[in-house]
Amino acid sequence: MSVAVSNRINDLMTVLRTTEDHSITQLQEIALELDTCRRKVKKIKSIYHALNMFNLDVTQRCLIAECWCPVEDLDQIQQALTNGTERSGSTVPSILNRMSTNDAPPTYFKTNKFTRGYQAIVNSYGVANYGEVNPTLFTIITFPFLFGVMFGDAGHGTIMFLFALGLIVFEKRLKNYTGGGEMFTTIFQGRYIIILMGAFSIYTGLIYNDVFSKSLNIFGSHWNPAYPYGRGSLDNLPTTSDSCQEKACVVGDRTCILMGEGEDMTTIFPREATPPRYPYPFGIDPVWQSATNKLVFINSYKMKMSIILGVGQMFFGVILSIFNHIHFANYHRIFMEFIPQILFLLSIFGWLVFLILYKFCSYYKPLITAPSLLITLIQMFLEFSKAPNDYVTRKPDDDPDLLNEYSVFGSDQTHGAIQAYIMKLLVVVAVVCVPWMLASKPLYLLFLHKKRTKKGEAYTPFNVQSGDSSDGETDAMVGAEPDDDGKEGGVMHAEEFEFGEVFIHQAIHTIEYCLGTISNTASYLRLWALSLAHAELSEVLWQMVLQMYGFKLASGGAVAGWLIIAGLWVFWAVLTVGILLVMEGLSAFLHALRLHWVEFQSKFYTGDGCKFLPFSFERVLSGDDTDE
Amino acid sequence: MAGGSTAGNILFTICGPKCSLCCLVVSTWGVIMLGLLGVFFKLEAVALFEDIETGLHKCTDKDHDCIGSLNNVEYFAEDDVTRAYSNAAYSCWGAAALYLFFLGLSGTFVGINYWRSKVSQH
Repeated sequence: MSVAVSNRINDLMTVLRTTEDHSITQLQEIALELDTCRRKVKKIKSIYHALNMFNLDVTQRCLIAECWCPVEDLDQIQQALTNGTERSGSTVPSILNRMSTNDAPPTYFKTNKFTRGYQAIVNSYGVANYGEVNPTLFTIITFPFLFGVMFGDAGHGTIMFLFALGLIVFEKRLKNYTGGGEMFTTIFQGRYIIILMGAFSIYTGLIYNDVFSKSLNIFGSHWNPAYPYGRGSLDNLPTTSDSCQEKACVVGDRTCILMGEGEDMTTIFPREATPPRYPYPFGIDPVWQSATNKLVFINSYKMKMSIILGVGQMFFGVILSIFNHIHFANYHRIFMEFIPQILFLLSIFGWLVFLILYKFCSYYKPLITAPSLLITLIQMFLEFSKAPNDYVTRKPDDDPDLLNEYSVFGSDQTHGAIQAYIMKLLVVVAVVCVPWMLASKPLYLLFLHKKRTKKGEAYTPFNVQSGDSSDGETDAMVGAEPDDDGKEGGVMHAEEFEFGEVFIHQAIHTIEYCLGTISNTASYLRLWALSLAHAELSEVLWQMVLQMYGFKLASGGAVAGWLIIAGLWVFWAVLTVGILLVMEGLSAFLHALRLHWVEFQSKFYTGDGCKFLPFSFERVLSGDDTDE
Repeated sequence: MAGGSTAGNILFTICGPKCSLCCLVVSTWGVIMLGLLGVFFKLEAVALFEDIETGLHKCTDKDHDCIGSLNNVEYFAEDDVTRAYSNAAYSCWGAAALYLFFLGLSGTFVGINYWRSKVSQH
């Protein structure tokens, strides 16, 4: 009895085991195919999803699709349709027909692997409207350049350049590398941006004369400070046998450099008495690295440079808006918006840039008469009626040569009068531009509206660039409502024109622009701030890590100096990459991007369009099949 | 084949493909940078003056080394400077040599990992 039961149990166990083995084999076979099956299903699903969007022409038993396509690719599309007909073996050809519509087309920019990264970062702010100026073209150079201005270290730039070069050289192999996660993919897609960022950082690093916080002395310093600089000038020193009265002399077999009490020999003063020698050929003079007043000089230089670059970029942005106005045939906007904007910007900040450049090139003697540009600009408005020489009330016994801090062209009366005349003119121009920007366009549109209602026309096609509704709200004015399907695009309804709303909208736009010129110009000072932070961080890192515990010990004759330096160097390298390259790099990237998005693009760009997304298996399979 | 792959296995666990590539890059950077730094120290570049210990002496009356009757004179001897620069240069070159050794080591690791991945593909 028990034998029979145990036999039965054994049989059942065998059955269970074989079933399990069989199902495992089956599942393993399926698992090999699972990925392929999933991809097939996704593809088929996407095809049917696209087919669902077709219309069915019931009478002729065919499908009709209305879609967007680039005009210059029409031949290719025709060819593809013919190929498809042949391959499927059907006898009925597909017909391609061009239709006309008032809808706003999606925006399509043909990009290659180099420009794709830049187009992506511009698109992150907003896709361009159809037919609008594409800022990507200029961003390709200005973005890495502004990054370089903020990063400004040739050594770090070299590392960044080589890293991106590595990514580019091995790009075929790295394209399908999934081991790095999303971070690596993002960096890999931006490799062409990073290589240009590195290249421009090398350039600005050479101009700031900053290689891992040390300066390069290629041409020999062109300053002549109090003590001999460089080994060669230690020759021909006066030789004394007892006390050393000169700044530097030779006593016995020693060379003595006298460092006075309280006076710092490493402070560089501009030479007032002697005529200025010609400056260092390229970049900042290497003597500044050893000077205690280095930051005073560098700050002044970088701030002025930031203002010049900022005003330049904003001016360029306003110029670009002309192309938009011409393209959309809004000629009235050229006279009512572009010209007052340019005049306002140039009369205040163009004047400031002119003053900066003039002051760079002129020599003020005595030095105390060099003008303070910021105060000059402020007093231009506050003390409108006075001449610059009169900003400061003089006492009778004041030396007239020592009091002119606002007169740029020269401290005498004629030059002061010239400056006063120019500044008054500029203030008048700037003040006139404000009501010009404010009132001219609404009044012009009111005039047009009245003319049209008098004539009784139903509508007039009125191309309005959606810059009119740049704050995103649907405008109750001249009919261009780019947020909807564009059915009414270009059609003006006579009863929809409300002067009050138009005026308020224009007032907001005017205030935004005018206050924006001031705040955006100041915003460009971040170019100075970030480059200062980067330079200081790099200097501190060198001093605290390598200098204090490395080179000082090694040069003092420590026993295993090379070992100390080797150990400290890798620590310094890791911190350089982590703090200075990654953190500062990301920070400068972000700020350069912000400068482009807000300060540059707000002058001409609307970015309300939608992107042209043709059907693509690649996008479906990579999971980006949302409407992006 | 078994013996070779055991050795290859052992070597793999010390340094994988990513680690060895990273070490290779850092070693290359170290060799180049420390080599150049050594050269600049040897050339007595002024930019590196703050990095060396010159043994600045402050002179007081009691110091028989004092020159003349000036107090609070700080001076350094040219020989001290040269010696300090040379010390720093040799230390840098020594460190560069160490990194050259690491360069060779990580180069071999990279080679081994590459060979291993090629073998495992077949």
